[in-house]
Amino acid sequence: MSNPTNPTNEPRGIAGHGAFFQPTNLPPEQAERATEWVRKHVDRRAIDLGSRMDDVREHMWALEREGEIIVHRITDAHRPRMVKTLFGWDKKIPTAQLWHHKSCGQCGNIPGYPTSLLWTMNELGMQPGRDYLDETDQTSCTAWNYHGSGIGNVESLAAVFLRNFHQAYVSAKRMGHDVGHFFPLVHCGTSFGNYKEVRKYLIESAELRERVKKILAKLGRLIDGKLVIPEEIVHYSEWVHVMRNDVASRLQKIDVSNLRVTVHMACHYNKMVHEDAIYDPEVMGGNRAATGTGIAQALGAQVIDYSTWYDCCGFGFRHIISEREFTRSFTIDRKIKVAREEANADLMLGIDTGCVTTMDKNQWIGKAHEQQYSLPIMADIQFAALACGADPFKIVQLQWHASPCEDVVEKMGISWAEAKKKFEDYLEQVKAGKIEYLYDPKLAMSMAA
Amino acid sequence: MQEKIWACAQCMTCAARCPFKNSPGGLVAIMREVAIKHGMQSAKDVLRPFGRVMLKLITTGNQLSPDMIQPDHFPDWGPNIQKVQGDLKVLRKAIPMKTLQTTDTAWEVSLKTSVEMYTIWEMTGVLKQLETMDENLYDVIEDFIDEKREEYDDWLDAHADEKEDA
Repeated sequence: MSNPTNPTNEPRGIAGHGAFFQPTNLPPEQAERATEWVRKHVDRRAIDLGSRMDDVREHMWALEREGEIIVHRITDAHRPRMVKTLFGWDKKIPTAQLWHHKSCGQCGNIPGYPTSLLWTMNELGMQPGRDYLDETDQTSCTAWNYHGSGIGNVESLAAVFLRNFHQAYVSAKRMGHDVGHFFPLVHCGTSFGNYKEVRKYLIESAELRERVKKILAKLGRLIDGKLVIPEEIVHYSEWVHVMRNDVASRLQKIDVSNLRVTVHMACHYNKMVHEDAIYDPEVMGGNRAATGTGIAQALGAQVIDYSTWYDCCGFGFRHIISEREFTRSFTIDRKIKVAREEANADLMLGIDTGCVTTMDKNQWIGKAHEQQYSLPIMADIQFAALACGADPFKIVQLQWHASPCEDVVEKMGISWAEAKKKFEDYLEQVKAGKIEYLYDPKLAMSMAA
Repeated sequence: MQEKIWACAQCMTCAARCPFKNSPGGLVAIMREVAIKHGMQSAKDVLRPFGRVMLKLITTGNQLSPDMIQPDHFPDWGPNIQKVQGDLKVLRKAIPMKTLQTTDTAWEVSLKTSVEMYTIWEMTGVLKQLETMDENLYDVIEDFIDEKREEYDDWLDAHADEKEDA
C-alpha cells in the first residue's frame, strides 16, 4: 500500500513513524559496540558529581525571601525523613499529613497501586483525614498527553502544577486544619518528573511566573497575590523507600525470600531531573536509584540484577496508544525476555504507571512472534502489601493485571483460587451496596459539584 | 519537520547521559510543539489516532479511563486482560477508594476542578493548538466545555439560593 507522505516507499533511515520504521540489522559485534558506551556509564554511578549543576531549591528560597512566592514547607508535623540524592544533596521526605496526588494511568488501569498504598498507610496507623487525604479536587498533571502528542506547553503545564499544588496547600481548611497541613505526594512517575521540570522553569523565569500568575489569579489560586511552590516534589516510591523498614518490621507476615525479584526503574524517576532521585549506598552499592529496590530488599526478597536494567519499558506515551508494535517489541526484547532469561525472575517490580502497564499488558502478543515469555508485573507497593497480608483482590486488585500475577501469589503461599472465590462472593455484596472503604467516602468530596 | 520527531519515546535517557547537560528529548518536545503550531500535515497524520485520548484529557482532566481499557480496544493485550469477569461498574465499585469508583474517568474530578482546567486550556493557547490540528475534535470539545460551564453556573446559582435560604 502506498504511503501518502512517502509514495515510493523508499527507506528513510533506521527509525521513524509507522511505515518508515526499519530494524538496524547490525551484526552482533556492532550492536554490542553500539551499546558498550552506555553500559560502561550506567553500571556504575559515573555521572560527574554536580560541578556544573545548580540546586534549584536554593533559588526557590531566594525567591521566597524576595516576596515572589510562598514555599509550602515540610514541617516537623509531616514527620520528615532525610535521604540523599544523586549528587549527595539532602532531600526531605514527609511521612505524614499527605495529599494523595493520583495518577490517571494507575487509577484507570492499575487501581491496586493506590489502594495498596492507602492500605499500607492505614496498617501503619495513619488516620485518613488527618494523616492523609484523597479528594476529587485535582486534575492529572497532563504531561502524558504533552509527551505523547505535543499538545500543551510550558505555560499550561506550569498552570496545572500550580493549581493542583495550591489545592494541596489549602485542602485541609475544610477539616479545620491550617493551610499547608497536607503535603502533596505524587503517585505518577511522569507527574513527578514533569512537575520538577516545571518547578525549575518557574523558578528561573520571571516571565513565566508573570504569565501564569494571571491565570492563577483568575482561578482564585494565589495566596496573598503569590504563587505556592512546594519545598520538595515527592514521589510515592520515596515514601515507600523511607518507610521500608517500618513496613517490613511492623507489618510483614509472609516470607518472600524464595522470590527472585527484578526491578524496573522508571525513566521519569531517575533520568528526568535526575539530580533529584534518591541513591542509597545500601541499595545496589549506591549505583542505582534506590526506590523500588530498597523495599524489595527490606522485605527479604532476592533482588536480581539484569543487563538491561537501565532501559526504558517502551511506553513512549504516544507509542503505547498509537504505535503499539514499537512498545510491545521493546518491552518484550529489552525487559521481559532479559528478566526471564538472565535473571530467571519470578517477578518484575515497577515504580511508575506507564511501565507497569506496558510490561504487564504486552506479554501475550509475544506468542505471535514466537516469543513466549511471561513474567508477573506489579508495583513495589502492591508487592509489599501482599507480603503484609493484604487481600490479592480486594486490596491489591490483581484482577486488573494481564500478566501471571497468580504465580507469585501462589509462591507466597496464598491460594489464588480461594482468594478469587472470596472476592467473587464480595462482588455480590457490592451489588447490594455493601462496599468496604479504606476511608470515609465523605472525606473525598471537596465540594458538592 | 520530519516524522522522526514523533519516534522519540521521551524516556529522557539522552538528557541523563548528555555530557553537555543538554536534553535532546526536551528539544524534540519543543519541535513537536512547533510542528503543531504550524499545523503540519505530518503532525496531523501522527496524532489522528490520539484524538480519543485528547478528548478525554481536555474534557475531564484524566488521560484515560477504565471504559477505554477494554478488550475490544486492545486486542493485542490478549484474552486475559483481566482476571475477574463482570460488569465494569460493579468491579469499579469494588475498589475501596471512593474517588476511583468511576468508569468514564480514572478518578472522580469535581466540576469546579474541570471548569478551572478549561480556563487553563484557554488562557495558555492549548485549545487554539487543538483547533489547528483537528477542527472537528475542537468543535466537540468546545461544545462539551460550554455545557460543563453552564452546569457549573447552575450549581453556583442553586448554591447561592441555598445560602440565601439559610
